[in-house]
Amino acid sequence: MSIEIQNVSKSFGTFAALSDVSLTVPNGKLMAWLGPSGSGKTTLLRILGGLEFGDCGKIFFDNEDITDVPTRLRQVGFVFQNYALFGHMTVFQNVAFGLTIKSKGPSKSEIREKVMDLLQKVQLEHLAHRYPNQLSGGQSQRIALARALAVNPRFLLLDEPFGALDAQVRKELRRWIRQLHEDLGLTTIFVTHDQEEALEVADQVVIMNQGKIEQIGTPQQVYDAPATPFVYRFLGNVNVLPASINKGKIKFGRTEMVLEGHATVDHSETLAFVRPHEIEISRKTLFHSAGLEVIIQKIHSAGPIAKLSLSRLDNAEKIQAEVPRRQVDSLNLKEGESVLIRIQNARVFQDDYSI
Amino acid sequence: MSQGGSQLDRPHLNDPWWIRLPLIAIVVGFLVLFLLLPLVVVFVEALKGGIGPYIKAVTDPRTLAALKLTLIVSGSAVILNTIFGVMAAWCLTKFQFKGKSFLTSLIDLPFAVSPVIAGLIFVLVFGRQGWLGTWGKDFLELFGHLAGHYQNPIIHWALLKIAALADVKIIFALPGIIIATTFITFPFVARELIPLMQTQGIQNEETAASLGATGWKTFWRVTLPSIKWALLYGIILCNARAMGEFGAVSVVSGHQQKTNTLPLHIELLYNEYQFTSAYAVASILALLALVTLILKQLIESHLHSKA
Repeated sequence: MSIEIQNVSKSFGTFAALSDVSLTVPNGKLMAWLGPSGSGKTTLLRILGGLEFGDCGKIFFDNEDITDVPTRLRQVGFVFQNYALFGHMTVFQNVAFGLTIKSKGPSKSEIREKVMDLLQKVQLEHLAHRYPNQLSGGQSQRIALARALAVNPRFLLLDEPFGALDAQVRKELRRWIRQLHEDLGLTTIFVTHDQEEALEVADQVVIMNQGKIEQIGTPQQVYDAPATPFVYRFLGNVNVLPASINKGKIKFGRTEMVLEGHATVDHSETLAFVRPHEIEISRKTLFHSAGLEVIIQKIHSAGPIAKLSLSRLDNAEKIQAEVPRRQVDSLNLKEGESVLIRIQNARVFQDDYSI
Repeated sequence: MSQGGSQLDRPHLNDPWWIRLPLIAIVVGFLVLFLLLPLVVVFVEALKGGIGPYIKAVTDPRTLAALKLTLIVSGSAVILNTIFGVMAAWCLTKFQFKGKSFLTSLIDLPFAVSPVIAGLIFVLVFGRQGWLGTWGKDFLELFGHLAGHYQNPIIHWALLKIAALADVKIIFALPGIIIATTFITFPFVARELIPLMQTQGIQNEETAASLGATGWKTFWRVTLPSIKWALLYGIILCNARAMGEFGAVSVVSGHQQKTNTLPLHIELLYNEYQFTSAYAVASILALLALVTLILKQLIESHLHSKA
């Protein structure tokens, strides 16, 4: 099932939640919609599910215009952040709900078979007779998924599916959802504000901001080649350093560096975006003094990657760097020392286009 | 009680005894004087002349008629208010529309208006000389006139029946008492449901819709089961108030024997200096109130154990 969103806009009073959004969701993909709160991602998801209606624009499911089709006829599996399980029904009854409300629905034994099959799929068949308030967050989320899957939805919409869970369960459920998606091959969209989650789970990531789409691409594409400064800042940590460009060389303060793949447009004052792991650290020696001189203010070395807080010697600007823990040890870096950094990769955005 | 127990374990939070003791005495004294004592007095006075006169007063045909009327009226008011209350709460909490806050405050109107004034309003609206009363007279004449023109017996009969509808006596009759009582007790069910349904939100309904349920099915299978205890609680409060309503009913009943509810009957007996009978009938109402309280307590504990 492919989904086509054409020029959808939606405002709540004077607040424009979505402005002229167009997007195609390819068949069978797991897509993440990523953005800060208020970026319109949940509104767009609710419009797809028929829980909200756009002010203008059209929605197509497999070339069928469903813009004005009510929720119950859309055959869309919608899962909420807080699960929205029916508290007065057992787990079994929750999952069976979509099957029992049809007037000419399946027989009792067929329902039973289907529900138990789904519960097995989410590995919770032993909880069939529990009530929702006896379940953990992760279990509830899986039951909500099973309930949505019971009606053979054309695709799945998950609204912040891991939002209410603690870190450990989150990671587990993330992998599990990825696996489930591979088993079922169902087109799935999930909304999240957690970039790590989006980049790890999805085939395709759509980054949204202020009711508009900033970039669409695979996790690697959006991480390696952010299309806008917003995406750069939003996906992972980034240093934003004042720089100037002259004849293909980028200059930070008085330190010049040649950066490959950068255009020849000269720019006297601009901002360079540098990821913390794109900074190389070396010790100053008699023969080696090329690079920016910085002072190490703080070393956070819990885990395999050490995070260094650096301060430039020339203008005291703060720079974050991430280097392998091993390197910190082998260079014997200490807080308060002065070292040299080389920027291996920087990205400069010029007005509308990037170089 | 459990609060008191846990406070003993935390003496640093307690005030000295000479502050606590007078405060407790004031509260207990107040409760006994204003709540417990009147209840006891009702039963003591009712049984003053022994069990014989009590049974005689309670089984008096006029008393039984008043009891029957009270049960009919409170039953009707409860049914109407359950339907209206659930509908009002449903539309106020599950939908967004203009004038919502106005409607919300309108629900509280019966609490704000004095019951006597409410009764007067209904006399002015539905009475023979009232707005709808004079309109009803025109209506009656019009259809009576029309019926005269039609020879077809079925149409003739139907038009006469419609005309008769407008001739139903409302004020100083059963319909007026039911209308007044329903008005007075309207907020109980809706007020009980609205906060609960507000905290529940609409995600369960949205989920049901996405699973293919119609609005009707969603209401019966998802919404109603999740509010049933609060609804029952509202119904019981509504019933208690409906049985005891005096002011509004007193105005619309017209002080006649056949439209006497229990509270009106008590007043009548009291004014006729039949104190024992008055207290005996009052004890019936008090008993009904006690039963209501016990039911309310049971439901409340159930609500708490659920939460």
